[in-house]
Amino acid sequence: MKTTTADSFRSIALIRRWIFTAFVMLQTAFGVWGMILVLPYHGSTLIEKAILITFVPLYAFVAAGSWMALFGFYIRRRFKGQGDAKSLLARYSAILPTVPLVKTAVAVPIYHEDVERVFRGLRASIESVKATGHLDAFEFFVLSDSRDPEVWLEERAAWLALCNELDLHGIVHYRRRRVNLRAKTGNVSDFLRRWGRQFKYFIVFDADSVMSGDAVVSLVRLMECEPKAGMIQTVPRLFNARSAFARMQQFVTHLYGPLFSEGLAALQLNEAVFWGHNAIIRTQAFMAHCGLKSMRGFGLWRGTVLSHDFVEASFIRRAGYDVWLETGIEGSFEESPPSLDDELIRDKRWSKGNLQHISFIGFEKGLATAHRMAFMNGIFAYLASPVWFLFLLFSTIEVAQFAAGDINYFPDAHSLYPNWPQWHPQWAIVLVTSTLVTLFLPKLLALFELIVFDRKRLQGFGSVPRLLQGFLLENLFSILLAPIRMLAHSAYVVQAIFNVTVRWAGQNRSSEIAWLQALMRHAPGMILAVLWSGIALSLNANFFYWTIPISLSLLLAAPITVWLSRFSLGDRWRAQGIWCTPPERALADQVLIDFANIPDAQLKPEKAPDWLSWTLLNPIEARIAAALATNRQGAAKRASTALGDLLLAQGIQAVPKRQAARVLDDAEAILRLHQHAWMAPPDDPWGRQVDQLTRAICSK
Amino acid sequence: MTNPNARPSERATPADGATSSTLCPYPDVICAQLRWLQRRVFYQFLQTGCPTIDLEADLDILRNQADLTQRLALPVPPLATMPPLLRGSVRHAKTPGDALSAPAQEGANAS
Repeated sequence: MKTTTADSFRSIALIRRWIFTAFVMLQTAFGVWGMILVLPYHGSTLIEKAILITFVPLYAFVAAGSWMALFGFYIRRRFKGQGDAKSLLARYSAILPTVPLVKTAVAVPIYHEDVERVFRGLRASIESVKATGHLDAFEFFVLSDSRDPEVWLEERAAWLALCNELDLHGIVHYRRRRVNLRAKTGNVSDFLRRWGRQFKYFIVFDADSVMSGDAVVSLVRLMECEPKAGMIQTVPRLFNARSAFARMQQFVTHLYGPLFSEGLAALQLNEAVFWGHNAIIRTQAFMAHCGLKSMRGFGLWRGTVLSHDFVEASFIRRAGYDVWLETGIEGSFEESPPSLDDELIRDKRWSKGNLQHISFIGFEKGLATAHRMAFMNGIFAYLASPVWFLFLLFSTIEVAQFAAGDINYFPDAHSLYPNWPQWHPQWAIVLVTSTLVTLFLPKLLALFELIVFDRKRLQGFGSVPRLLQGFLLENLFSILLAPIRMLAHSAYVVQAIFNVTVRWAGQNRSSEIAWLQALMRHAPGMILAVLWSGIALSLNANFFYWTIPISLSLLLAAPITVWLSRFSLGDRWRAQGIWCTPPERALADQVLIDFANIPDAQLKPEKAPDWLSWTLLNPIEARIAAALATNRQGAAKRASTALGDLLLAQGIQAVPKRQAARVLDDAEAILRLHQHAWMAPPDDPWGRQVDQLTRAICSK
Repeated sequence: MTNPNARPSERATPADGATSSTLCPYPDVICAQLRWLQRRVFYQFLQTGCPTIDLEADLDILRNQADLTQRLALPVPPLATMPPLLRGSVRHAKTPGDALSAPAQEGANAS
């Protein structure tokens, strides 16, 4: 078996990273120089110093993203779209089909998700694995942290229906944690503690993940080929988008994603990061080195690590294992939040999680520099917003000072010579142009690459005129959405610093945004936009024109959010061929076609009562519940018996549902209630419930 | 008696469109018989998807109750959500020095 030493990656990684850093720094230096020329006092006053301090990281961040994509473009063209020669797939593709598979778990941690969607994705993935002929090498674990019995009972029913329908008993498992400590990371750790040792590898799915059988099998084989690989992350592409917003995001990941991910993979090499899902992990290495302790700092840096994936990647790398981002594996998919508001809700959690990484950069020993840089990148992805906000604020103050006639010819108190403020509009134009080029060049390159070099992939985007129309529209909306995101992220960063609690909740993946909800959320931004524009107009008309792109976006935040969240708009534009992507044109993986063709599963009749009542009254569900109930003893048994007695006497509505659902932990209590209900006289609460059930199910 | 602290949304909900009691226009004796026949047939329907109602339907309450009792006594099928446990531990590498020796070991084992 071909092996590669860590040193060879180290030297090539260092060369690439230094070249990248040099380009970024050089461009940033030019940008800062241009900014100094643009500023009237050339950065010598306090406010101009503040402008420059905020400008440097912002410009560097934008430049880094741009150069990353340029690297990706170079790699894709250099290796003719086959991926980096150093990548795992390039090195092992020749022997990959002959590598035997080993037992691998697929873990699907879920928490209050859309049950039908979760199991539809899982079913499509399982059927795809089955089609490869290697289903016997995998076991699938749905790991639920759901608390609401209406959700977890449905999950359990969906699991059983899937097992029954495809004969997957013993292959697909379902577990619900009764105590959901440490959220998702605790859920996965709990699984590993109990069952991890049975599997050499485990693949993590998100609730909305879908992976093809070929992708899953390739991941296992690559792990077998590279014994030093601790994690291999695939690049999930978005699919199944309906709202205009989600379709736009889908278009973005399919059009620009390949360039950025190729560039990122080429720079990170064997020190890539883990994105939390659609990745394979070496179980023993993870269990030995990636357990996350609660943070023991203060405020934000205390308690559960929220963005655990980056930290786990850095820990497994610290232990000497490689972490790869494998861009060549097709068939890895996830979904986009349906609206801007849903994306922002997710960002709130991520921003706090990423800011927690400050403690890992500073205080965690032995981490790879690449991972410390990845932490910094993740932090600045959110910190950039308040920095941009401050930049705008300082710029406004600068303009206000001049508008007020407050010109200081001696900004340096120790200088005998006056410092005349100078305006160089031509430099301002150069600076703005260079910034726009930096921002849009990667996108243009991605478009150019697709149209000129990648004709096969181009088919997935529809006609070229529609592609160009979609490209222009996407850029228009990205310009409009940027200030809205900036303001929201700024608020999240401030809230994170003050350690405002972030609620752990299932994501909305499927509904539109109502007007009231959007107006409430974006009202502060709209007010701010009006104030800022008013101030700008009163100070200087030219400055007002500069502020229009930002203030207009903030002012239109609510309508934009509502409009883009509409499924009807998404459907209409899809019919018109705008923002078409390979999955929509059925040119992507077969797994997505199968996903779309899975019929809706009806787990209980439409007119049936809630899941808890249905479980206790339905003869089949009650027996399943009894079969799956824990064998309780001691105090727990006494408590469930007492609960059973209470429910028996007073009916299911006697106690709150979550409390009543605890009776499902006791097989004896379930059967006792079930038998009582069916034999109860009509005036008994249970007798009435049975009568209601009869009429509800049988009535038209 | 219901728990006054429980929010309405947290309670079990009755089936859609259902009211609290069934009105039966026939004499009480007939109504009671029909009620138990309905119970037995509906239980059978839920259990098998194929209820037996024929022209010789037995209206005797005791016989319908006995049939229902028999159906209620069906054994619970064996079913497992998860495979047998094989416990391990998820550890946190405390010192980088300790951790760095591990992959070489596993790499050797794996290859």
